[in-house]
Amino acid sequence: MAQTDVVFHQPETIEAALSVLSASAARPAIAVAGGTWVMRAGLRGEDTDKTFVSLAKIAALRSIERADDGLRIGAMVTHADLASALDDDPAYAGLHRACAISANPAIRRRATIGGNLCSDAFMAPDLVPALMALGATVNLHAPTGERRVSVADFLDGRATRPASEILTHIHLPPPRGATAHARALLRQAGEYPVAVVSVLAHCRTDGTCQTLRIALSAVEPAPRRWDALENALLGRRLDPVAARDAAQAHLKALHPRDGVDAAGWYRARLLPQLVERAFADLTRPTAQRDPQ
Amino acid sequence: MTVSFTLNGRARTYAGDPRSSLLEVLRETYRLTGAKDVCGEGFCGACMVQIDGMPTTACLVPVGTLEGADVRSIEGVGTEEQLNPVQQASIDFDVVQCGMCFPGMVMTLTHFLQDNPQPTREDVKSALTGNICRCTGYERIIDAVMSLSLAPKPLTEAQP
Ligand SMILES: Cc1cc2nc3c(=O)[nH]c(=O)nc-3n(C[C@H](O)[C@H](O)[C@H](O)COP(=O)(O)OP(=O)(O)OC[C@H]3O[C@@H](n4cnc5c(N)ncnc54)[C@H](O)[C@@H]3O)c2cc1C
Ligand code: FES
Ligand code: FES
Repeated sequence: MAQTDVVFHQPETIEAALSVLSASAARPAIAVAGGTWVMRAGLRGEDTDKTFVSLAKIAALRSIERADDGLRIGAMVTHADLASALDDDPAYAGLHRACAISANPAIRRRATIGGNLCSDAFMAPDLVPALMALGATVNLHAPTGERRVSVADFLDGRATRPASEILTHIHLPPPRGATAHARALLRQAGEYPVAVVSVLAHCRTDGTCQTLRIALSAVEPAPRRWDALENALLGRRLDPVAARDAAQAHLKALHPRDGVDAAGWYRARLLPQLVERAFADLTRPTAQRDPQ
Repeated sequence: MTVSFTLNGRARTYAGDPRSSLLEVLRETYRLTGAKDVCGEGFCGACMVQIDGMPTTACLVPVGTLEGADVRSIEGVGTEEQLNPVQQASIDFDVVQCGMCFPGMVMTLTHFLQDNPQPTREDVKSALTGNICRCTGYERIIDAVMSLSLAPKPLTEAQP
């Protein structure tokens, strides 16, 4: 391979990565985080002849920082690293669970939180709905400057996102309330979940729900908040059975997707049960949670 | 661009396409065919190797990221005279059927036992979520692992 035809870069700063990603070149350039999505491009029938810009050597993307205004998680933090960082923090039980049981152990050690957010064709992410439940925002860095947007807004514009923009970190506001994450698999063998429900609930002293965020994943083509169900349950007490019944009543408005692993109707049918399980977890001390 | 790394204890310098997967490079360039090319997707674990001691699916790792890394494949964990304990237990318990999954099983379980010298059967099962076996039904694999958990000596890797 000629020296001029460099197909792999491993810059050490965000600025250096942005300059390679935005340079006009013979072939398109793509950011590579854990590589667990990028390296399967060929199997998906996508163009594989792209210039790789590995983010692995950029130390600034790897940190997890706790501050008064919440938690800042670098985009290159892996599922496994985040799971151990959140291990003893009950406020983040939902995100912890999403990180600790997604995929399989070897993938969890490589796949990153940034990659989970940026894989626009991946329909069954666990981390994304857990972040939506926590009210997370993402910070994006382009050659023209930085911007911070909610996860929902990021997902909306994701497919047309410029290749020269790097997601640098995720910001979580100080958690108020309890969180839970429930997922259903067809088998246990580390495959994609067929439906995921992630919830944050913050209750008043009288037990009624003051803040409620319920996010879905794997059911529709992209994760999203289930606002109809949130509205139905807001102001009520946390009751797993009532939550299940409300979910059942709101299934019709969903647009579930058919996939090789499961049909759309089946994904939707799992939701009331998952909502019940998540709500049961919210009302239970962390140590006793369902290990499923 | 070249990539220099250690492969089973030996220094190597790779000069091909740095975007190639480590699995492809192991099999095509170094003719180490112990790591199997099965799903190519990170699901089955047949391509498992250890990078800096951590079990990793070689099919998803671009070799360009391995500058300075210590890579160990199944060819580097034991010798014919002295198998690694997981390999030996697999023979003793007559575990292996077609064998396709086994190089990966050994890489995963060797690391797992270092971190969890006395696991429960459940621990072993969750450790194997990324290693699929189409033949054995897993129970004998777990029997073999449990036999090692009782071993009085700590598990050490045989060096090639
Ligand atoms: C067998 C298997 C099972 C899995 N199961 C699950 C599961 O159950 N739940 C789950 O949540 N996930 C699961 N995953 C992970 C998921 O499918 C993706 O592979 C993963 O989230 C991608 O992360 P990555 O760091 O490897 O990204 P990469 O493959 O490196 O990148 C993915 C995409 O994001 C872009 N990108 C990455 N980081 C950035 C950044 N910082 N800025 C800009 N763009 C960026 C890349 O350009 C690329 O387009 C599984 C993966 C495998 C292989
Ligand atoms: S071939 Fe790599 S995990 Fe299946
Ligand atoms: S022995 Fe055949 S796949 Fe495991």
